[in-house]
Amino acid sequence: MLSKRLFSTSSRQLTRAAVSRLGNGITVITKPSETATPSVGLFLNSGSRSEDAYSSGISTLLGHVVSASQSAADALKTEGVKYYSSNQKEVTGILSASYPKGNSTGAFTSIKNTLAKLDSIVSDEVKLADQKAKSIAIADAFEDSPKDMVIEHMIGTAFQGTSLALPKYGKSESLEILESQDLKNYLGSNLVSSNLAIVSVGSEIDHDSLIKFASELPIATGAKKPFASTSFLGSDIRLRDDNLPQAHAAISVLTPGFKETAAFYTGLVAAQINGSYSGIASPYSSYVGSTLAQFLEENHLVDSFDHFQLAYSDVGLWGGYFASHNIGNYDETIHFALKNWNRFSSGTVNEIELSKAKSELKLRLLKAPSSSVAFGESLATQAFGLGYIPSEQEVAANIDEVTSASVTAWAQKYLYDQDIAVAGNGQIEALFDYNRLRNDMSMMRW
Amino acid sequence: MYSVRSARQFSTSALRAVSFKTVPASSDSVSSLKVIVKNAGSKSGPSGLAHLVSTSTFLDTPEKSGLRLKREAELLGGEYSAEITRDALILKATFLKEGLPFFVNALGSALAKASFKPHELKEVAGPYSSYVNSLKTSCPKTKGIEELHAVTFRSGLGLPLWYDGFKSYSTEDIKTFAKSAFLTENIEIIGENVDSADLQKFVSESSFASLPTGNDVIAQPQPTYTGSESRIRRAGKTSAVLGFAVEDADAFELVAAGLVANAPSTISANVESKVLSYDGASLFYFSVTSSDAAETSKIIKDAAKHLKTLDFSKYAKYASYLAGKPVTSKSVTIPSEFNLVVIGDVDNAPLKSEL
Repeated sequence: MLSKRLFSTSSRQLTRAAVSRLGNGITVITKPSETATPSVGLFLNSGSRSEDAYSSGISTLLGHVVSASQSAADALKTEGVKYYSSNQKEVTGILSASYPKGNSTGAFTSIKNTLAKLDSIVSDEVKLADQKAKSIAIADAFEDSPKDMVIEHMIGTAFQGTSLALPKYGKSESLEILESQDLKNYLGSNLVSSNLAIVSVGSEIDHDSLIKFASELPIATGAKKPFASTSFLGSDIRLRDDNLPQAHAAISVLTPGFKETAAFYTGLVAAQINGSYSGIASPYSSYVGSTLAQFLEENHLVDSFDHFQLAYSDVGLWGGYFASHNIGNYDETIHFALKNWNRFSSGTVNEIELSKAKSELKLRLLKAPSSSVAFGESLATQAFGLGYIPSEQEVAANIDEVTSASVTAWAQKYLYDQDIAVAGNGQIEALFDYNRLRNDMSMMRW
Repeated sequence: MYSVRSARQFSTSALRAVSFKTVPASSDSVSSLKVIVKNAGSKSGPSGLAHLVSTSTFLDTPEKSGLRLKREAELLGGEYSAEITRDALILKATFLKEGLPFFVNALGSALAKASFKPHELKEVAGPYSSYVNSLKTSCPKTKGIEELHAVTFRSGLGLPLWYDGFKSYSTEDIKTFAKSAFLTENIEIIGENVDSADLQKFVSESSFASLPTGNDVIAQPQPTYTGSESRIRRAGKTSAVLGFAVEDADAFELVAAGLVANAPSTISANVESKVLSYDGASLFYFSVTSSDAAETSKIIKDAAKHLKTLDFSKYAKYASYLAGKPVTSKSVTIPSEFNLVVIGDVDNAPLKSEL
């Protein structure tokens, strides 16, 4: 009854994202989209992974300095154009201009003005000191959010000693010592043509006019610096804090990055099989289909959990995050979660779970991001990493390719009896030591 | 009585009252439905009841348990939620577009057939409503805006948006509320990325068709009040909210933009100004929240001064951006009286007479 389609779903197809590369290396992307506030933004293919221990946070700081500049305030007051900045490990949204419908020329003019003044913007020591304080406040606030904090530290311990381990918003110690000259040096080596994508989301800017705009921008020609290679180390890091009401931990294994399409999508589906559980934050929590959610809820072992497949250009991390106020039994929360992961390798995940996970994943990946700025960032990330932007049909086809057998093969290769990266925070006296957790990654029986 | 209702299930005449709208797609493969039930918001009925009604939706119906609905929705790739505004109850579903008939049925049944069982109220809707209320009102800005509604409108739109546990309700109260508000005249269905003929067909075949009809309810303009001051002493950040009911909502979008543009951009203070439009009334507010009460005081004092002195007609572009819709430039008449709400360190925040 559910699969029979009695109506037309072949309504007008949206135009897919157009990507082109200019002669000097700038990537130009336009994605027609229905949105109340369209955006056009400049994204760099260098994020916290391009920093080092002494410049950690510089890309965040640069974004804040640009969006808090006088030029940004003028753009807002006179043109209604609002600047945002964003940060990831491998991509920085240095200047995303969101504008009211009908004012794409205002956005173009504002960006041009700001770029022309960029040198004087980063030289303003007073503004810089303000924005350093703001960036430090953001980095500290990030540390105060347990979920973000443990996942970031899990990445940190997994790739320790390499630049991928640096936190995406930087650290207060390194932010404090940054000066104008550092920002100038950073711009000189990163704001170069091959490292830049200009992305428009919305229906007002067509591809040709964005190409024209991009070719007029004062961007130095230069090559993108490759990311430093990284290596995974099974390890753990803990910050026990008995002032927090819960125990928090994130655990993950090493997987390939998003360029290995089959493994990446299999990891995404596997993460979706256990999915997430939001406890009191949803009235429908007790109804969710995830077997892990049902088990942990019935036994009062968890407040919320989430599973993820993080992926960068060359490596990824697959794992889960668990929060529980039942701190005395937190060892059981983690034990049963890891035992549940063993199911993937033994091939005991059933077809219903698999098709549920595939449908939910399609919904999650194909839904348009909530803001046009976030949409632009995701398009830029795909274009930088893959060299193209997969269409919705391609994404759906990649998910459809995943089968029970491929999940099992994936799990036996990347999950079963593999080293783990663990981060814990809060009341974690019952989070076992590394070796006991590591032992749960395999089974005494098969 | 029952025969009349069941006869209606196959008639499409009741559906003439339901209004439909389709909006362009933002994704090829994902569709969404939004069902707005007018006059089922917090302004109708005793305080907090509408919120309990909203958290009781998508649970058991005689045909399908809440658990089965959730599991089937997961399998089809869809999610649903219910939220409350002052005017309306809003049901939303987002799903892979092949799931359209299923989700039309699910939304229709949630409105027309909900069982509203006592144990659901006790175990699901009640605790979840209290959780939402404590989460929302723990934010001093949100609490301030709630209080501003209370002093500006007193009843109706002035009732709290969420269930605050002040009164206790039974499932009978919820059923009575649902019966009086879930009428075809009150229902508007907005589909994104759906074919409107398909949508209308599925709606006419669904439980939406069995909803009773009533009379068109036209929102009455609400009496509004100015000159009030409310100060709530509380630990945490200090929030000051200044506001009043307005007639010309568009003009005050300009004022909102002008005040925000002229507020200092500091790291520690959160400044917001908006016009909230409801059926029959609009409310303008400017709010500032900071952990430093002195900073809150300074910014609210400046805003009150700017309100009297600025020329707001030049902020049309910024206003269009903030409001997410075109706003044209015009001159604005600022009323002489306003309401003030302070939450937090009230000892160090200015009195209304000082603004």
